[in-house]
Amino acid sequence: MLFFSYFKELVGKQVTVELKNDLAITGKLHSVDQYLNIKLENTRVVDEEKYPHMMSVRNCFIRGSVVRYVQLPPDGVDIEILHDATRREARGG
Amino acid sequence: MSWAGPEDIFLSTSLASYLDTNAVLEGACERVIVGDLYCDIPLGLYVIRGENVVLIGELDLEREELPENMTCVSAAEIKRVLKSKYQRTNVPKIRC
Repeated sequence: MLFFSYFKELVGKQVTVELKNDLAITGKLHSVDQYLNIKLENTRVVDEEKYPHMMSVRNCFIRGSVVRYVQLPPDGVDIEILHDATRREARGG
Repeated sequence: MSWAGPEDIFLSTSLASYLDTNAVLEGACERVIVGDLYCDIPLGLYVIRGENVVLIGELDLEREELPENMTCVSAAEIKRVLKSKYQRTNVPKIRC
C-alpha cells in the first residue's frame, strides 16, 4: 500500500517510466492504481527512432507488472517521509 | 498480496491480479515492422489476457502514425523480408 500512496502523491508530476523491455516513456503522471498500473499523459518515448510505432501515442496505460523503474523529479522525493513510512510498514503498523 | 503474511495469500486473489487487464479488441490487426517496411495484418476479434499486456496507448489521430520514410507492404512481402533477415535463426511468428 505504501508505494501506491507514494505514487498517488506524485500525480501531476513529470516522470519517466522504464519498462522491462527497455522502452522508456516520459510523461505527466495521470493516475496510478493498487497494482501500480500507471497512466501517463502527453507521453514521449525517450528513444523515438528505435520505437517508431509509438510516435502518435499521446496518452497511455502501462501495466504495473512490466515496469522496471520510475524516474521521479528531484522535488518529488522526500526521503525522510519515505524512510519513516517504510519503517512503519516494516513494523506492521 | 505481497505485503501480507504467507497465510493471507489465496490463489484466487493472485489469479485475479493477472486477470484485471484483459482486453477485447474488435477489428484488431498486428503491425509488423521490419526496418523501414511495415504491414498491418488483419486479425479480427482478439481477446488478450491481462498478463500479456505491456502498454495500451491512445493514438492521436492528428499526428502521423509512423515516420514518412516507412513503407506499407503486403503480408507476403513482409514475411519474405522477415525470413531473409532472420535466415537461420528463429523467425518470429506472425499470424496469417
